[in-house]
Amino acid sequence: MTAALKPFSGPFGRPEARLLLSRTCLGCSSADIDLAIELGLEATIAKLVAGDFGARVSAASLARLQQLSPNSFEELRAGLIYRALVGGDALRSTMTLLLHDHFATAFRKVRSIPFMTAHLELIREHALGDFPALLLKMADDPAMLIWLDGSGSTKARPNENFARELFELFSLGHGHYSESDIKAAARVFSGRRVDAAGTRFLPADHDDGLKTAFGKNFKTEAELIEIVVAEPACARFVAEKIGRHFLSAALNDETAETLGKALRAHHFQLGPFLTEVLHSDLMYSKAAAETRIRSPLEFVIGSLRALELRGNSEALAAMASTMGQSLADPPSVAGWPEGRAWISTATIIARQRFAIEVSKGAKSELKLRQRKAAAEDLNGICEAVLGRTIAAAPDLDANFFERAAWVLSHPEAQLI
Amino acid sequence: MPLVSRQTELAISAPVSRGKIIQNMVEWGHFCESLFEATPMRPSQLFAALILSLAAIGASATAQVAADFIPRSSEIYLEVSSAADLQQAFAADGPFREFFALPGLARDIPYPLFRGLLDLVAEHSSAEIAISVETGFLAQIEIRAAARSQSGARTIRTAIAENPLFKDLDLLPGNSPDSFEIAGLGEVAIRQGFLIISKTAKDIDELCALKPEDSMSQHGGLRQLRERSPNAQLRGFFSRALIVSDLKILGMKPDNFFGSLLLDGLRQDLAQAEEVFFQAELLPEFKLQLRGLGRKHPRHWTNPESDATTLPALDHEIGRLSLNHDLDEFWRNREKIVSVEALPGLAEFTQNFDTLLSGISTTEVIASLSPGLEIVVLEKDRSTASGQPFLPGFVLALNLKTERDEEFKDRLRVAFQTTIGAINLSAGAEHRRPYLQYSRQISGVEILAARFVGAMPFDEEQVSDNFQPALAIAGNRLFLCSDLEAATAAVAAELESATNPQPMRHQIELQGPGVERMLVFNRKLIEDQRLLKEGDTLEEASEFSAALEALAGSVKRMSFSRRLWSKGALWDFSILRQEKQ
Repeated sequence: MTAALKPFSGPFGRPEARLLLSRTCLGCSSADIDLAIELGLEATIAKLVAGDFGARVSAASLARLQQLSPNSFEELRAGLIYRALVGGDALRSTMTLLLHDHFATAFRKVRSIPFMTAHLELIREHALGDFPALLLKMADDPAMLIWLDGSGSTKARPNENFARELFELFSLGHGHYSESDIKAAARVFSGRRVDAAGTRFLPADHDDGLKTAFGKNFKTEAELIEIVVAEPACARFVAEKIGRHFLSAALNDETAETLGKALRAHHFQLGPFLTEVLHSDLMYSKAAAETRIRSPLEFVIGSLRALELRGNSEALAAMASTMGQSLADPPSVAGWPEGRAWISTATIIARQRFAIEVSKGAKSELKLRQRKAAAEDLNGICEAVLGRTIAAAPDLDANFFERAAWVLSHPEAQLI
Repeated sequence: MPLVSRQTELAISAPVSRGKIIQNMVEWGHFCESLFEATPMRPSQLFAALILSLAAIGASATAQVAADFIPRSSEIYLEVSSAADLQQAFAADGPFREFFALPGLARDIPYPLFRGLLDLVAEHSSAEIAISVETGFLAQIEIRAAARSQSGARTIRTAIAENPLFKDLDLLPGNSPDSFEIAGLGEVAIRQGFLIISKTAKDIDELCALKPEDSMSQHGGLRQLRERSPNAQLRGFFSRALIVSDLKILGMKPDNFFGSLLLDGLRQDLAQAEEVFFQAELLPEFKLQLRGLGRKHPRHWTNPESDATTLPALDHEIGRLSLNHDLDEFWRNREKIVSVEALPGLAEFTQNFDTLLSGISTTEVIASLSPGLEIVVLEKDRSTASGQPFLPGFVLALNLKTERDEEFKDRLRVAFQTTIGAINLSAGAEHRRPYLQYSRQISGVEILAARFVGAMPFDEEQVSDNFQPALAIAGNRLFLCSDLEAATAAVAAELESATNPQPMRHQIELQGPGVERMLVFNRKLIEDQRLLKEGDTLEEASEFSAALEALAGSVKRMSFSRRLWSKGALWDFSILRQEKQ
């Protein structure tokens, strides 16, 4: 298969390794960068996609991560944070957060820890897999059915919310579907009811008749999804969203189109598509560096990963909430507003407060401890967090955590 | 002079200045956590933790700690009858070996070094030298060796310098002419005839600057304790503690009414006390007694004249809390007891509870209760349990005044059914299984109970899985239980005890083996919590849960009881260790 994106041919040095890891792993330490350089671009990407790069804990701990079963909303969020902090599958965690934003389902309406857990696990499972399969699974996901009122939708009164968002937010984007397409799709998703046991299919309430959407006939949900992903707008819509995260917040039309072609060429398989994106020239463009404001989760998790810290994941999730990103509880069906919207008079203070908490180390509510020895001098910390030293760095009479806080409070630390 | 005066005494003491305590108390929560992390909290650690926690209870009640409310000093003395006993006490299997699991000591003074120092003292000075180890509120440990003469002290100093065990340590000039410093061990100084090894020269200066009244030695407490102890001959060494304090801070009003019901009688004991006196013995059973000398208590803090009877021991009982309070008196004084900030929350609770009571009021219900409240914790059958946490069963037992008629009891039954109905109202919206209400008769006593309808494939809602409540009224005893099984056991015990009632004591009791089994069963949950809230690896989390289990497993029974005497309160705390297999 010929690559749709021009492969990167330059040297894979420290800046490139840092760019790759900070965008795929939420954040990276100097040791991560050293390892990537040692492995080389090809092997690093292979390991990232395979979920075998930069684990902070033993294999036994990683196995336990698969079995974490939360009992509260706070634990649910803490589990996600912990996994992103220590797992060797940081790329999968990054994609999980990205797709969580994409499918934007919120606990405040779902009100069920098991359903919300299953929803996020479904996303994680497919985060580097088959995107159409994920779309199809979403149609039966209890959390999604509660969130978009699919539970209780009947043949007589099909609810259109899920069908509408399937087209507008999940696959095609605004303007690429008609009201009649929505009505036809709503019929095929009828006949589901969520109860304490999960999703039940009620054949009597399901419309199994012939429907037409996008000018094509279909009877089942799978046939509809096939029709949807075959629509020209679908590949570009999904690929652009991914591209805005990994490449640049402001993609031009041409790049978005090229990315769409690449995704279609990979038959919507996210892992192979990402592999091509990460190998591409676009990924290492200097113009794309530091053009995006870190999301609160990227700021919080990335800082800890960069500084080789560990701490209280519940408190980290709560802190990200005060910065405007309440994990597992996005503000609307459209997910979190991004870019400059991350920064407001309130959230910038919250980001500053995070830095202050970091300065307290183990005594902060984050209970921060160093996972292993890291550079403790100001230049070393600047290098880890910012990727460069600061020429006018003062001679701070401070400990490691206070120095780290000083660096994190810099505007540059908010960029990726 | 606060240093030990008897050469055969090993002292673990913390004569800390008030200012230092204030500073440390602000961080006491952090310290207690550190201490907890250092589990296994074997008896000697428990002892230290208890002393420190008691002193810190008051500080937790307020962010603004006034200096006058802080204890003047806090000292723990461990005594040995000879240098050989001293070595034995800190031997690998000795009772005080566990002190080296304390965070500060473990970090600052490695056990082999300390052992080496003891051996050295024993070898060179026999009974001429005493060692004192000082622990502060943040587990900062200092070791002091006290010699009777300058020459004895110099002998030790030279021996330290020449001993191969310390050869890797840097022996540095100290910060004063008569001191030297051992890196990794601390500052060593010869002052006033004593050889002092401390963490810093500053600490030595503080130590030597302490006034006599800062030390328990001034009170001759050690000698008095020895004379009073009934078990002084038992094993050759034992431990004792004394806190001289004026803990008026403990009189501050709490924010939580129910927490106050559980704890504030204890706080008041200390608050009313002008002097608090601890006495503890380590072997064979760890016992600690506290006597608060001071003013009399208000009536609602305890009820010594109560004729409340206790529920007999139930099968599979793992813990019990018995509060011999007059609940009606307590409730009527609620506005005096809790802080102004807590009152709106209490009013809201009362209003909500009134709604569930279907025509009677919270105040009326509480007025119908005679003194005494008991909570009994039971091990449950695990065979049908799914997931974690697996909670134990419980029985809350209250006493109704004898004049209450059947209609009033029916009102209470209705309130139970209304509450279950109210919970069912939100079950659908929250995707929970609803409760089905039913009743059972046990020896003529009706038990109202509720169980979940059907099985739930998503069994992650384990907390609710463990809670299927039941209510029973046997005679004048009202039982609110976690499940039918617990209610049945409580009713049966109550009926059996009717012929032989036993007075209720004000006490807490825990059975170690049962607690250990609960910990084992919830091991994954505990480990997961460590992962998520502490950032531990699985290995660290496993070590922590194993330590907790070992701690519970090492205790056969732990009990705490409280009673009033003419001049104040008397507490008894005891830990009976599990015999080694």
